[in-house]
Amino acid sequence: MGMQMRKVVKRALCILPMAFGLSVADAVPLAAFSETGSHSRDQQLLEIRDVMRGGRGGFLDLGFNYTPLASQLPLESPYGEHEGYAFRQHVAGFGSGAVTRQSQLGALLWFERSGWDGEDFFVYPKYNAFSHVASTTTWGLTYTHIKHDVTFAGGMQHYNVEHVGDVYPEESDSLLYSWAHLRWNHFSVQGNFYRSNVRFLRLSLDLESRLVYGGYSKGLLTYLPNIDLTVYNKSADKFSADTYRMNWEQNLYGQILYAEVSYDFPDDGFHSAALKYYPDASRMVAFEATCIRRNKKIDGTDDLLWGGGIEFPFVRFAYNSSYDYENFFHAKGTFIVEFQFNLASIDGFLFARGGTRSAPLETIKVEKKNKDLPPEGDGLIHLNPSDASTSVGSGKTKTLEATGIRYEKSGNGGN
Amino acid sequence: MVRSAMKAFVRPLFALCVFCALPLALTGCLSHWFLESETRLQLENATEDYSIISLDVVALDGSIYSSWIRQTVLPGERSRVEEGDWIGEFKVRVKYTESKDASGDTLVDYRVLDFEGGSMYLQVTASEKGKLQYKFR
Repeated sequence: MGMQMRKVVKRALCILPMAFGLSVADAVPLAAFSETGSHSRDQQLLEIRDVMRGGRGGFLDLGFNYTPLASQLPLESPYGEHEGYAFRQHVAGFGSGAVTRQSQLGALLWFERSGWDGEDFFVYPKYNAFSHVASTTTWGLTYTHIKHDVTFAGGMQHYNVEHVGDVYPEESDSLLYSWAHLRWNHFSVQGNFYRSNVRFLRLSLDLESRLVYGGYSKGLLTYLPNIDLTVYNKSADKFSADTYRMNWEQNLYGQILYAEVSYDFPDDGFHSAALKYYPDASRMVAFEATCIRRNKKIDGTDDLLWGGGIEFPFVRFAYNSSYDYENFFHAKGTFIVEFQFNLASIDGFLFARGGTRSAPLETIKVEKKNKDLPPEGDGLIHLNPSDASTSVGSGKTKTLEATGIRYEKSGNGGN
Repeated sequence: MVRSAMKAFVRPLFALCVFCALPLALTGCLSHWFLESETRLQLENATEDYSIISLDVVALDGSIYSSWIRQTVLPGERSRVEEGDWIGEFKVRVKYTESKDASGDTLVDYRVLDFEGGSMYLQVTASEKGKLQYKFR
């Protein structure tokens, strides 16, 4: 294709997204990639904690980010801004089954592949001189005792680097971590370890009462907070460099409006805050407004980034949201589209991760079922009382055969 | 009749779509079918009495550089086509001499150029005052 032609195509492709303000997109800093290993490992264990609130049932998650333009999230290297694509693909699953009446065994797998590449792709990246492709896998086994409401889960976590371009700082190409999770009722403790070093420890108090886990659907107990405290061991051999992060999630109104604040101490202070509205407590749909404090080390500034997002069952749109800033390489200044789907199930309840009540899908199903049932009595003359039972539920049949005699009833009473 | 004929038509079409979607999913998104993700650069020395020794891309702060065209291009000659993962605006460093046979002191010229990707033909000329000028053809 001629260069002139290519220019035309490129301009044409730019017009539409420009209308959405993509032209003001900010470049992705190099430093965001070297941090991602620890971020995605932390995020995966956070999600596992949420799914382990019940300790049984199942969970499925799929998703990938879609950024149509090469100029949307360019890479900022010492050479300048390189056009290309930041990407993130993730898949997760958890399933469990009963081994005895009171105990359940399960397995879980979380996988994420993310980075930056010169081309957009689904499976095979281009792996150019400025690509960074790495993946994080967390897997484990779970055991839940239903009567005592206890869950134990543990497994391994792998960080694998597929490809690192020349401009990135040196890093180990493959790291193996282990993790463990212990939950009793509303309390849980989670640990992440590298050999014998503790990488982080998290204590969670999910005090809020949730209907899906046998709690209440309304009342004072649903207004109890969910608090977690994480101790990060920033450098394994210097224990003085620890940081603590506290996260507070609070139901503000009927488990559909929540506020969330996270705070780092002793030094950093305010980290992020969000106001989230879930039209339904199953959290299939979400509207959120977020605010996050930018990282001086990476972005060079220490200010607040305001943004928001809308999440539907299969797609999520966001602009400057704190979730993308943390999990998608400090992406900002551009609209992010993520095709994603997640669904958790327990005891026949279906909900998105973190949800407190079952999705309304099911009530619709039940209503339909009721409508389909035939009216009482099928209006047929039965020779034998046992025939009546065979014709129940088969509203379509208008004829009934008996030995020797044939009775027929038509709708308009003709015959 | 019409409906069944439609059905007979739509079903294989649907199957074909699914069949095509698989390789598309494997090769990735479509954009790099018409957008280039690398630059193939050829340099022409269109000056009359300067020799170009090399072309490198340098970091904005000058701390690192990456060689691109490592070939002496005498007046009137063209370099080989060299492929590079450079798409965007980058600072280019051209080393040259004020002689027709690449002898004498090496001089350096810096310029920020916009690489759009694909085949790019860079023509270097000299102004009357002896300044190098760059133009994509």
